[in-house]
Formats: sequence, structure tokens, C-alpha cells
Amino acid sequence: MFEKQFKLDIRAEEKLKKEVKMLRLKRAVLLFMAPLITVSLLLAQDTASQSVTMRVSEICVIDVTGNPSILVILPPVNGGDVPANPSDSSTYAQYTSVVASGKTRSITAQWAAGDSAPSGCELQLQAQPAGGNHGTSAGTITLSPTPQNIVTGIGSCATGRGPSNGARLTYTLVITDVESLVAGEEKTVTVTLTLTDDA
Amino acid sequence: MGGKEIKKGELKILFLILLFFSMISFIYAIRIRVTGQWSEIIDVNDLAGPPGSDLIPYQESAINQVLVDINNTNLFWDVSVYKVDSFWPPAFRLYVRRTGNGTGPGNISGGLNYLEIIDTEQIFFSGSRQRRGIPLQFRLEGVSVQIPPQVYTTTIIYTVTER
Repeated sequence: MFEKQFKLDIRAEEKLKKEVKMLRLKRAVLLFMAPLITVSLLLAQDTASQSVTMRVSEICVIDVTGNPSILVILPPVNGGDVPANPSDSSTYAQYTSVVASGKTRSITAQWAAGDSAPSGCELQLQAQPAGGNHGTSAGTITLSPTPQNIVTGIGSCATGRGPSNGARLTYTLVITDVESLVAGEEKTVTVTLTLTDDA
Repeated sequence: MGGKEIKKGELKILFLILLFFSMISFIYAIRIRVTGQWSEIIDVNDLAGPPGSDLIPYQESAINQVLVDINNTNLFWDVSVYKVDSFWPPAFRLYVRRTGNGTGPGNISGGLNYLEIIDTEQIFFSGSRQRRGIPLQFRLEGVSVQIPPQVYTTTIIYTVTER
């Protein structure tokens, strides 16, 4: 009889302990929820978000303002002199370049495989850019079918579209052997300018 | 022991009341939903003209690039915006404007002129009750060839607050 009563007391104590535990748990939940609910009731607000993405791509385009005038070898003022080298500086290379940081581009010039200057002459080209990100002149080159740099170190830039914007192109027909000149000989060549990534 | 019983009972009632209010506040709390996003590729097609030209200095989205819904409210509210840059050049300036009223029983006002979205929260437009399908248009300024080729991202945060 005593043993049975003892067992019942133990069960009652365990039950009481469980109830106390539950009470503590509920109180903890209340303490946690109360401020949250109060805040949500006082500050009725909601947020939404979205991303805006802009992809800037590389740009590499070039154009020229037209064709240079015809380079004509004129008779010298004084007999016995070598004729002067005709030249033209009326055209410009205009370009827009967008490159990654630290990268540069160059402009190369070449003529087609079958092109040539008149007998006793060579055709030279010099480009004079505005400087800065527009690049620097690579000096004077003699045109050939092999591409050669005329402007180097071009960064991100836009030369502009005005009549005198861009890298000024000077074509000079240089007489290399006056004895080889042939009167009436006329040659037309196609010069290709290419804006290209530097290695 | 009687006191404990009362405490236990009170706690139970308080718990249920708070549970009820939390459910109500969750079900009836004001909601903002933003549908759509804006992404743009800036390339050679965005030049202002032939080679030698700079890029067009701005980009503009469609007039209904993004639609905003305000739900679960019968009160007055304000919508504010700000942005958090992930990778965004300092030269880029992002603007937003409201290009329509949307539909719904409430009213809407403000936000019809471009507002520059900056890093701090600003009120964009206001209204009352529910409005759905409020169209937004974006404008990006500061585009030029000086911006290095990259993918740039910023996040716009919209907040609706009842008042």
C-alpha cells in the first residue's frame, strides 16, 4: 500500500515538472513573439527588391572622313631640280574604342596585295592623333600589303565626328628614283585602316 | 497552488491572443510586390552616330518595365526607394518614375517626374488602399565610352509603409 502511494507521488511530481517546463517554454515563446508582433502592428510595412543590370560591351569601330586628293608630281620650278613630293593631309581616321582597364588598341594600315605606287615612288602615311586615350603616332610608314602600326596605345575614347576630329592622315608620294618616273602613269590604291586589339 | 493555476490560465489566454494578432497582422499586413526587372546591353548599337561618336549618354527602359502592386491595406501609404550597389560605376545615375496609376480602389499621387535613386531612402510616390499594376520606367544617365566594359549591377529596394 505504501509502495503504491509512493509511486503515485513520483508520477505526480513528474507531471508537475512537465507542466512547469511547458509553462517556461510558453513564457519564452511569448517573450520572443510579443515584441515582434508589436513592431509588426506599429510599423506596417513591406519591402521588395529587384536588380538592375547593365552590361557594357567592348566597342571597336573606325571610319575615315573620305579619300585624299590625287597626289600629282608637278614639274619643279627650276630645271634640274627633283620634283617635290606631293602630299595630302585632308582626311582623318575617326574611331570609337571601349576597352577593358589596362588594355589598348592600335591602328594598322596596309594596301591590297596587288597595289603599288607609281614607278620610282613609294607611298608613305603618317597619322597624328589628338593624344591621350586617342593614342600616339607610330611615325611615318611606307605602305605595303603588310599591316603596320600608324597609331598605338589607344584606350577607351571617341574621337568625335567633326570634319577635323580624329587622327589626321598625311599621305605623301615620295620620289625614290627620279629616273624611273613615267609620265602619265597613274595608280589608285586602296588603303585599309584597322583598329585592332594589342596583344 | 491556486495562484499558479490562475497564472497558467492567464498565460494560455495571452498566448492565444498574441497568436491570433500575429496571424491577423500577417494576413492583413500591407504588401508590395514588384514584377519585372531591367537589364540592358550597351554596345556599338548605342553609339550616337558613326565611328568616332560617343555612346548615347542615357538609356531608358520601357514605360512599363516594372509593375508594382500594393495590397492588403485600406490605409494611406508611401512607397520609398533606395539602391544598394553590387558593382556600379560612380558615373552611372539611375532614375525612376511612375508612368501610370495602375488600377484599384485607392488613390495614387507623386512620382511622375524622374527621381534619382540614391543610397538613402526617399519617398517615391504615395497613395491609399490597394493599387495594382503601377507602371515604372527607368533611366540611366552617365553612359560614355569612359565606362570600362563590365557587367554592372545594383539592387533597388522598394518599401511601402502605412501611415
